[in-house]
Amino acid sequence: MDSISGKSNNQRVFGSEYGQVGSLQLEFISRSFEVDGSVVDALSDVNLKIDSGEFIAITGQSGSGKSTLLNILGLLDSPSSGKYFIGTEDVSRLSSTKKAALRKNKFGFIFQNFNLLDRYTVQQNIELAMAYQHVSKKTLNGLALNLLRQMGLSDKANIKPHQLSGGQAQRVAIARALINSPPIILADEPTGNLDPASAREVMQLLRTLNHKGTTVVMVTHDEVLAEMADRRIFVSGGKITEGTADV
Amino acid sequence: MFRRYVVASYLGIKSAGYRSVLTILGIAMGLFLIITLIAVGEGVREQVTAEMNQLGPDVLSVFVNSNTSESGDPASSLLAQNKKSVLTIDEIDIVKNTDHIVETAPIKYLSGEVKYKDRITTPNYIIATNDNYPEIRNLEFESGGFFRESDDNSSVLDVVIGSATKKSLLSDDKNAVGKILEYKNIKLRVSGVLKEGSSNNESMTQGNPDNILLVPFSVESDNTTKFLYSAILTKVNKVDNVTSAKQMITDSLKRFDQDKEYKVQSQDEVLGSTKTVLAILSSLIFVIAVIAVIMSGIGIMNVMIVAVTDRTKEIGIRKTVGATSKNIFWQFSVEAIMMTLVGGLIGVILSVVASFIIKYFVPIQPIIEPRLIVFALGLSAIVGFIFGTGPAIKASRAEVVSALQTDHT
Repeated sequence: MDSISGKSNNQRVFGSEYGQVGSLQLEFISRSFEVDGSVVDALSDVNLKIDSGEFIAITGQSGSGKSTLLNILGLLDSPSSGKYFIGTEDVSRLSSTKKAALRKNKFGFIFQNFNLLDRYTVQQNIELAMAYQHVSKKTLNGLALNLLRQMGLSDKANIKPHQLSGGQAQRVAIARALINSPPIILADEPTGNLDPASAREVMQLLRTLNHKGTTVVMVTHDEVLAEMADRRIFVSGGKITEGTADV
Repeated sequence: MFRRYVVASYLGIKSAGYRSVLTILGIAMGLFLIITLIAVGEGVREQVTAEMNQLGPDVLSVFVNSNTSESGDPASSLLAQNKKSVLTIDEIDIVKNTDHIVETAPIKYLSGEVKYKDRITTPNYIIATNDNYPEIRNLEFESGGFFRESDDNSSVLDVVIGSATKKSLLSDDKNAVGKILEYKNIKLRVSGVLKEGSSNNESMTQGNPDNILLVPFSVESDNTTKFLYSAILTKVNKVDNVTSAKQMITDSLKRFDQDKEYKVQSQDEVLGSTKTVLAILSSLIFVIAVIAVIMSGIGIMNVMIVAVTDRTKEIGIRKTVGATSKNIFWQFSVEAIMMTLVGGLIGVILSVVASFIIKYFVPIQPIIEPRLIVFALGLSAIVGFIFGTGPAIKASRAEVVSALQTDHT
């Protein structure tokens, strides 16, 4: 894998020119679901502040609510109550279109199961993240190929994701998350399906991105990986029990 | 953005493999059915209208309305009719002397066998008339020409035969003109042979109109019926005067004989029933077209619902990277429209091929005009959009988190 340091026009995704988006701040966020007629609280009155440029690990047992927390942070899900500020803007009650625009411009998502589309090539999967932006095909191709080169996957551009190893697939997913130069990366168990060597590579990538100014919020149940973050948050029973920020 | 919808749709259609191919084929067959039916219907309509138009819009036909003539067997009815159900020379004179009338051809339906050597045929129509008839009827000749009234008193009467009559009696003889036929012991000399289809007109509803014999009035020797006529065909000087001429003829005849129920018809009225039949044909085609459209639509809806279900995860991923509900809606709508358009295009090509085959094997000329092709492709797109809307809305409303958790990619 090439170094992902240094900047050029095509490498802007790794630079600090992401711009500041301010902090992410949750105030008394609750999220409940109805399951078989009864209400289950996935999150209860969560307060959390994440400063720009931080690397945060959210840990907790399965079903503790950490993924729900990440989904709310990434505007993939809406809280049942409470307020969510990005910078000074309350985004908890935005329309779905405005939330989509924020996801498009502010966030990059990395998932445990990669979420790559098998009918598309590796390059097309990466370009998918820019499908809803006004970018010329030439620029888009350049960005995708440059990311693939930096991920050490230049020769994989035209193959389908199912032909990749787990580590390679996750690097493609990371490339997709980075192509729109997001100031915030949200990673849900990014190493969960990887062997230790690939997991280390992915963590190294995230670490490098964070050093370049990207805010990284990572959900993991791996204590060792969590130690690599600047700050750890422990979620249990839908509440933050350690590392709650002052709000 | 549209280009990206098209690319995404292409990949979606491609990934569905045989399912897409079969859906497109279903749409193609539906459109093929619609276009071909419309083309054949249009061809039939054109053909019938052209044949009917031989009479011309400036022609009036005059006859006496009677139960016998309404029964539709004029060829055998004349002798049985009394003077109240036929026209006389006096009435012909009245018509001839009406304002705006330029030509008049009385006609009398006869019947019987015609012989040539050892061959015998019974024409569907034997019509006695005068030499104004070919112009009023716009007759076209394969060979020879119409007889002249001056020939009426000669021992051998000149006559005109239809193409089917010629075939029955003379086979493919190229020199039919001049041949001597026999009708009720009267010698008839063929002066002309009509072109196939030339003699067809609105009143010829029984059998092949090309099996016809046109004779001068002198063919009839029976003095009791000699000067009685079945109908009068008359030409008006201008189409604009048809209505007033019709009224004047009706009024004059009514004054002449109040007891007779005269009927004066313009071409439009004569064509009334034919138009009704054509309208029924059009309605039938419309109903079949609607059914074909609905069936094609259900096919596309079915495949799109499956596509949306199969690609729920893709929808989740797209929404994660910033796709709005509107983006998702249009992606799936464009996909449905693309499939129906491709299907429509194949349907158009099949129809064009089919129209050539139909022309070759059947005496119908299907008409596929450019506007029919535009209509078919437009209809395809509309069907794709309408029937793709439901699945597209379903796709656009997918919740991101639950969509990402599905197994389908």
